[in-house]
Amino acid sequence: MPNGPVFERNLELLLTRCYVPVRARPRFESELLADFLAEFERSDARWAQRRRALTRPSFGWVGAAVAAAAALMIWILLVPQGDDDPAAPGPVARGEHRFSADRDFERAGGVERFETWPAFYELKTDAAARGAIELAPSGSVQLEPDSHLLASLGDTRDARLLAGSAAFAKSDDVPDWFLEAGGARLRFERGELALHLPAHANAELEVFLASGRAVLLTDDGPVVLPLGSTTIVNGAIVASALVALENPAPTRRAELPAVETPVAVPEIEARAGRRLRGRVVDPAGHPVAAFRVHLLLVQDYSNVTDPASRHFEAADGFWVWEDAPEGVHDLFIEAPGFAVWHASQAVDTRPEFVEVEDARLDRGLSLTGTVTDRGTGRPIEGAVVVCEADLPLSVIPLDPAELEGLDLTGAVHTDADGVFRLAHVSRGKQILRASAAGYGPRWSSVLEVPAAEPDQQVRFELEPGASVSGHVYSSDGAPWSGAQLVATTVDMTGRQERMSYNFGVTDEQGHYAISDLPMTMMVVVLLGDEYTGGFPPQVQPVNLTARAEATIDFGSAVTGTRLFGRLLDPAGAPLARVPLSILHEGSDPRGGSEGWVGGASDGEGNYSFNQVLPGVNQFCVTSDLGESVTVVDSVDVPDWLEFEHDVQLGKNRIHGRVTDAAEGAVFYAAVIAEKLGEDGEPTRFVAKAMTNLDGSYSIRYLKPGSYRVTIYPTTDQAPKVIEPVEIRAGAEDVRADIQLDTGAVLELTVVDTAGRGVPEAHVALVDPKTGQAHEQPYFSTTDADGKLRLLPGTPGPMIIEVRKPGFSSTRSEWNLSVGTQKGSVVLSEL
Amino acid sequence: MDLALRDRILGGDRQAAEAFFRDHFDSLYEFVHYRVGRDRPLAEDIVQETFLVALDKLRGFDGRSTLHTWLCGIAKNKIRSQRRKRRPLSLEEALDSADSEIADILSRVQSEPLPEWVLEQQETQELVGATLSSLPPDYRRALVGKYIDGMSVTQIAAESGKGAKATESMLHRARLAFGQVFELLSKKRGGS
Repeated sequence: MPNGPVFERNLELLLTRCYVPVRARPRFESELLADFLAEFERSDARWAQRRRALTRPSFGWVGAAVAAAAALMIWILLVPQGDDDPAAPGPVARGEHRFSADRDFERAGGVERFETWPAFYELKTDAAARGAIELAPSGSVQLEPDSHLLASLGDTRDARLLAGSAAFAKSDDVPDWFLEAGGARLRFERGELALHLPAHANAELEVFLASGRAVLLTDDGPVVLPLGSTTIVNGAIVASALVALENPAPTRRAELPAVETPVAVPEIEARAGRRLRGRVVDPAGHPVAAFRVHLLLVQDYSNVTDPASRHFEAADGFWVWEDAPEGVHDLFIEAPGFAVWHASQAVDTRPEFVEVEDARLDRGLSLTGTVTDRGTGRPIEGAVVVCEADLPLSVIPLDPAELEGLDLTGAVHTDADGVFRLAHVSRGKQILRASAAGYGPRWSSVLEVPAAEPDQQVRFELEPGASVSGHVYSSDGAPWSGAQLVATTVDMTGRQERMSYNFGVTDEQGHYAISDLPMTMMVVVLLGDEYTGGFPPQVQPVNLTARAEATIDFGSAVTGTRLFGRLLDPAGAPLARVPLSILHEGSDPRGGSEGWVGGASDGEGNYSFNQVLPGVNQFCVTSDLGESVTVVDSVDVPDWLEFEHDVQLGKNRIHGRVTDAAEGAVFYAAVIAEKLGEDGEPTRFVAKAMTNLDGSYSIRYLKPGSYRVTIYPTTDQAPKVIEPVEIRAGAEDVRADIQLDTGAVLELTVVDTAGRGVPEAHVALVDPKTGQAHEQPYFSTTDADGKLRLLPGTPGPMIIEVRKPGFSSTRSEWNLSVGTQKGSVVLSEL
Repeated sequence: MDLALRDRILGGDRQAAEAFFRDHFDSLYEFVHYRVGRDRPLAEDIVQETFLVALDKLRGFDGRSTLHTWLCGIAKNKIRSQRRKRRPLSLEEALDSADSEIADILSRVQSEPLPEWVLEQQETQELVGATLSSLPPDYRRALVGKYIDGMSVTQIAAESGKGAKATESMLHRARLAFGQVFELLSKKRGGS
């Protein structure tokens, strides 16, 4: 125990008698100050360029937001919403979203790619190992920068890794959101694993590479890790040592890349610049003398980055780009008087020298049109119209001023009469987007642009946009000023390749507002502020289809309760690194709800959630990007500072295979399990899983009881209900194979009394027995042409309700038969 | 306050940059000095690198710590990096050669009077310096002001821009912090 007077006396003695101030050499101080100020001047020149950027997030950040948004959208969209009533009609509105095997598995240019859809991560072999890749789930890893986004979504990314012999171990001071070991060890073989270590992570990471090849992406460029053990500190390799291999896994293919000679202490060397060369010619083959080349890096996630751009002037049309950025790029070439030339994944700069194919420019087609106020009919001046495919951007700002700053030929402004003219639109299918300050954006239908058809007219009628506002609080409950937020669209219909976003910054009270948004499903992503860099973004969905103003808060001024405990397996052993989410009562565990907080158990099976709202909270174990979720427990949290509760998982599993009438596998169907009560009626949602490529599914962590299992396919099969599926005490696995019948598909067109398609009309399904409407909140609105594909349903009678502000709502009865049928609904203007 | 200074520097304010340097130079140098085994050339290298890295990464300073703590964090990384290359002594290692009897006595600084002969030891001086270099700058300034420069609480308050009561409170916390850090370092070098 401290003795006050004694300590006070000791302190005085120590400081008065023993303290010898340390002083630097005065000359050192003065010289360093001069160097420091000189460096300040240089830095200031860079900062001056970035000061403007303080007002808008970088594309990289927005890209990360889109990646998170897409992950969230999978969570949201692939589960039927608002369908608690077992008597609800079968059809489920999902717009035109489709999955195709070609998109899920893609082979490109000697690189074997495994992707989930959408692509968040990619493990790829190099050219020498072509064809040797195998898919074998054997662990999970979170890779920066997506991982923290996914963690904020309540799920860790469960990357499927290749069985093999390289292991990654996590040291204690690596933040959990950075690297997560799903099993005891993570194993790779023949894969090229890219890890990005953010400098701010302040992390020390031991990497052990037994064979194969691993690339570390550092601020100084990619570095190939040597075999053996390597220590990585703050993104830089500082030491490595060859470690004898224990039972290395057998090599399966002779054409594996040769093992490089390990080095004791590898130096990070500046990579030699990549040299690109190409030629630009006009339609007659004559050289084009002045043009701009944009390289848009194709990233492993979301394909979002800042484009690299360079202007060239060359009489012979040849261009040479020294020190081109490394990687696979989309190539865009802009030249005055020509349409934008675009080639997807056309440039792979990983070789030292790349000869790019000749770009034969085309004059393209002139597209003109008008942008008017839908309410008043007046022209809107200064609206910006973009041809999305002609922009070397993957995410497109909604703010006209932002686009103006980018100076791209694929974006034009309307004149005082609201008229725009895109002089040289490239051939093919094009979508135009119009946006203006004070209005929500609007997209055109898909335009076929043949060279021969002159002056195609496009009309845009804009309406006031929707807005999202709210407050952002730090973890201590204080308002967070200067935090940046992005509201982004995520299109799952496949019609739009590019995402649109707007952003906001919180004021001193932590308040933000993002306006001029489209009335659709969006996500709001809290990116942190310009100075926090790696702060894990948080994501919340917002449904703007039915309301023009929404409030989304991040954090809370209320401290709430800290809920903590252990996650235990059925035998009572702690479960480490398992994604665990909690949902407050009233939230829908099937996805997309506010009040949902994600996390994971730590290395010892402990979990902890801060700021939990008192009341009943459900625990969910998630996996596969949130596609699979099981409600494993619930607890009534009291209004205390802390509350401890252990969560024990059930040991039972329902699994099986889903096939169509021809016994073919049904891929990516949602399998929903609900608990049945004593009366045989569903009492609560329990789990969701998605079928794999072979149609198989598995729902884990269940406890004994009676369940209803419902299949919602994304193909043309009808949903199907299997009940009861009994899990008896003492049993472990129950198999339920399910064969689906072909369903009824309705391609609906909503038109006004003049026969024009009515965009963004809300379509709801009505229970013929109760008359109750079941609005599907996501993608239940018609597209720009007034069309909506409702799929798939059980053949038979159904009622459809269509609503749109400014029109009379209408209900119509349908009797659907197997197969696809078309129909239309007429809305009368009020 | 630190965030405001950061914003002024990022806004191109040269005077702010100079103030940043002058405000933190001494404390950073002292901090590094005791952690590189009193190796002057190495200390200078690390202080130089730290300031240049700080300028480069200033945008990443989020105000969740003080600028001093943030700078020391950068310096610690540099020291750790140097340690791998050159094996300089860590703070604990640097003090490791101390007599275990002295360490034992010093580790009871909060409860037992210090003998005269211990106060005359070089190790004790090192430990006092290392302890002060580990404290937040305002604690360090308050202790040096009171015990070495002989300033009154009122004078310290006037210099720090705080009220007398707040200064008293800060002095109290500074004393406690000194005692705890001193004891910790003493134990690390062998005290019981």
